[in-house]
Amino acid sequence: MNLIYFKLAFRNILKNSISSIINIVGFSIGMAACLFIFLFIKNEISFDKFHTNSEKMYRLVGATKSQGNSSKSGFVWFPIAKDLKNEVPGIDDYCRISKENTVKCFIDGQIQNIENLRYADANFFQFFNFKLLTGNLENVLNSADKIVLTEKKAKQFFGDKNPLGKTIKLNHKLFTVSGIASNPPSNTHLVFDAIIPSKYIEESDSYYTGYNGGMTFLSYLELSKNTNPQQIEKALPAFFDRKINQRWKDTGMSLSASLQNIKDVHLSDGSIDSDISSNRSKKSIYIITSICVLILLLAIVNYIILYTAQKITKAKTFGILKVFGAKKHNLIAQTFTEVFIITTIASIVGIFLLFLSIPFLNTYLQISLSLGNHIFLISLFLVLAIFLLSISVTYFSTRENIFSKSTTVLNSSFSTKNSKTTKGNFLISFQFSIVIILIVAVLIISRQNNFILNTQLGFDKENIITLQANDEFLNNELSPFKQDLQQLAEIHSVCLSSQMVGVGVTANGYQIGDEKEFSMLNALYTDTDFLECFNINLLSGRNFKRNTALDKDAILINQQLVKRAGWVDPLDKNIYRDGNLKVIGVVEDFNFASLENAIQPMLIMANPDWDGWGYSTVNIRIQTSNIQSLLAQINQLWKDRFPETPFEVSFLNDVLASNYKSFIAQQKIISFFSFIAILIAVIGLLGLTIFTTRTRIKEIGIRKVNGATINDILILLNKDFAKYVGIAFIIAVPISWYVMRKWLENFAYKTSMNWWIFALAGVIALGIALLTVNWQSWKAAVRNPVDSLKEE
Amino acid sequence: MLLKLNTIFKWVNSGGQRIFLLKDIDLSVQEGEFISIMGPSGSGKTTLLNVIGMLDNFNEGTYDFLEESVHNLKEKHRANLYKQYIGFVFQAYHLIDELTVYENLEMPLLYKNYKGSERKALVADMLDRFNIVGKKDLFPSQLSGGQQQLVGIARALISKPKLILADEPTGNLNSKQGEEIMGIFKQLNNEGVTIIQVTHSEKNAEYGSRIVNLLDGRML
Repeated sequence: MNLIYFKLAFRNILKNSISSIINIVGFSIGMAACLFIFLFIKNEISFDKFHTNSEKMYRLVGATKSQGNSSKSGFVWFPIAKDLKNEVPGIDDYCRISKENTVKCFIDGQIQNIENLRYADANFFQFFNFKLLTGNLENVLNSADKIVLTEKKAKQFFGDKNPLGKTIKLNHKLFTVSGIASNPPSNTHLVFDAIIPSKYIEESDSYYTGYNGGMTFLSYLELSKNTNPQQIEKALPAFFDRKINQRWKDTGMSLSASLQNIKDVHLSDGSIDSDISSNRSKKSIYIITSICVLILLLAIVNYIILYTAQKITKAKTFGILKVFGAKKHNLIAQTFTEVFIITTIASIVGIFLLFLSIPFLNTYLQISLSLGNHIFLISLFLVLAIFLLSISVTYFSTRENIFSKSTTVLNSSFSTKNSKTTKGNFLISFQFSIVIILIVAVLIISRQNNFILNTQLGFDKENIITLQANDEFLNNELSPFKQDLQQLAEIHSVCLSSQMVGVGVTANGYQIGDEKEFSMLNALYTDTDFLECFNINLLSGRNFKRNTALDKDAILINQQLVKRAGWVDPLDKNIYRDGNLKVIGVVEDFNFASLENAIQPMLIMANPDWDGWGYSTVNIRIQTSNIQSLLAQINQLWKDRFPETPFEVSFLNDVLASNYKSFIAQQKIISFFSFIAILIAVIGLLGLTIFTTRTRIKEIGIRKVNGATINDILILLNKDFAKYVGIAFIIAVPISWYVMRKWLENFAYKTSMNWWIFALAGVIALGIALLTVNWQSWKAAVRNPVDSLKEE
Repeated sequence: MLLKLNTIFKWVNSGGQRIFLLKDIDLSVQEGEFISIMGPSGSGKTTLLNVIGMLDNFNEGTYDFLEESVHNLKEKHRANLYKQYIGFVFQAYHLIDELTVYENLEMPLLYKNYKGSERKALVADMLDRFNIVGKKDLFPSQLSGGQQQLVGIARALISKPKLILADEPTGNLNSKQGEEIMGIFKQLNNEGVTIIQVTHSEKNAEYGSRIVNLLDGRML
């Protein structure tokens, strides 16, 4: 019994090869996309679930309020976790981990890189479920001179030799390898390559360990069995009052905090302003998910459109089957078998496609998904998907009144004139709407990309080499090196700075003018050559004196700060922090942080000692094309002066571009999936036109016999499609306008949404329609009508 | 009595006017008859045949088929009735292009839930009887029109119907092929199968035992 279903279905699929190929391509890409999203989301929500006590593990999220502005941070003050445990009941344990930072170290006299070095409390391996392979859980991190490496790093540094007991020189100090940890899994936000006990920080004087600043620690609490996070949060206001808020009462500044379960850290809702960079916003996941679902939907719509277009031939076969005994359920089973075969082939092709594209997707999304680990899940997904897809497609295709009409099809008087249905028209317009929306999205996203990469930053980022030292220097220590550089003819100018320009600088509390309250202001410590080196305009006042010792309390401020202070004449005004600072000039606003943030008020000092900062960056504006030899010279000069201090040389341009790496990668993924969706819609339309022209061959023949020209025929065939695109355009414009406006709201600096983007998208869609239609209609139109009429 | 039509009317409404396709048709058919329905184009021949075959409804009158009142039957029962007792032969053959000769013959048996061995025997019988054993693995497009119509008749016969309805069975064939097909009908009729055919040709009508003439939906 079943054999006839398969025979008929298979031969039908082979016979209608065009629609079969379109359907298989559509379904396979749709399947691959959905399967990918399924695995991707599964991976995303699995983050940090592997800790045995994850239900009870909470991260502290700090908030700083000043002048009514509040900002949230995933990093908090060093002492808070410890103090909370001592003072608030219900906390079993805590663990603190510093931000990850990349450092250079000496191993056997060789300079090596540690990408993710973290300082962590001694109970790190007991608190979290990261495996310690060798070393004693109790004392692996119990003194300030110990370091734990991951398997990967140990292998890289020491090869096959036993790393235990070996020493690593870092920040001019020796650390002894006390343990090896297995590499952290890919689904944790706490990636690390090496761990140094936080004791090191407590003992060192260069780290700020109070409440007044220094939000650099991830702090985790483990709550007792019967404690819920709200109980702890309730105790926090009193706690902060005791610690600092009472003292700050008159300043307008206050601190607060909240708790966040460790499993929720990875997927952020965007409310935390400064957080771990690898965290992903839920929004981008929603976008990618909806595009993947859209791809599958388009594939289904394609199937239905093509099915409807072939209604006449299908109806004939069904009519015969029915006259010779087939019942309605036989016909449904027949349709189901066909869809089933197509989706099964498609899913096999889809797996293959996903297998090929997974390395590409992994790189762009910075994830490490592998199909091999999920074979059972994938099979389950596919079996479910094949059945659900087959059932739904069968349901929607057979709702067309195809069965009841089928016997009349056998009468010779049956006409084909009713082959156009409202449903068909609706679906075609739907298809075009999606195409237009996606084209608009791709256009606006790429414009925003260009905009961000080419925006004037307020300073000249070209031809600047930055030398980032793995240490901080006082002014007099670095100036000899600066003078060495200035001797070179290839170098235009050199300036020293506390941090790299363009990637964000530190912020401290200051009192502006007579204000009682403290405001958080960004501060950059640099020298007299800063303005010249970066080509920043001085709007009024003067630059620092050549001998900066005479300008110990002088500051330059940016326009934003002038605006913030409300000064008409800002020169000689005062700003207070540990003593009075005097404004000597105003510089034009420049983007010292990434363009996702608007420019904030900022001050510039030539005296880093004031706040206990030092110089760590040398900015060099070059004027040569022979960069290789210049770099070699700079290298040599540095090694002569500071043989003990590792450093890194990079082009400012590259550093700034890397600000947007994850943003651009995300946009690329979105564009990539959009293109696939557009492609599927387009091949569906192509298939449709092939069938509509086929069914109208007779009509075309009759019209030509009665005097229609090729032009008349082309107009006739194109008219409908132009109408569909028109309807689709009307549907698509408001939707895409709304969606893209929402998307652009994420950026402080955004491109404009010009009317011509929408017009262009409409024209492209129309172009696609006319091209696909005419490719087919031309053949039909130039055909000899005698041939086409004879066929009937 | 195989079937009896009693004052059958069929009409369609078009532009506020009622157009009659069949008017006041009375027709009784005995088992073993060979009836030819004749008449000019548009006289309602095919409509009448479809009504008899239960593929089409009528608006007024009664229709009894083997003691069952067709006009009172639900769609599903009616379908079961014609599937069991009536075989159809079409002018355009209406073979399924994707199935071979063998599979086309087997198809009606599949839907009637015959066992595999029975199907084999019945199909082999038919192939033998119509001398098309050598063609059993060919697809319809590989056959001549006459051969296709042979398969069409074989398919109509395979589930042993009491009545065969043939709508211009030779309309697409040349005269020699037509004669062959009519010969086969004659032979079938001699074996006891009741046949009703629609035809334009006086010559083909001669094969029948009775001629029904239609004009504008009315029997003359």
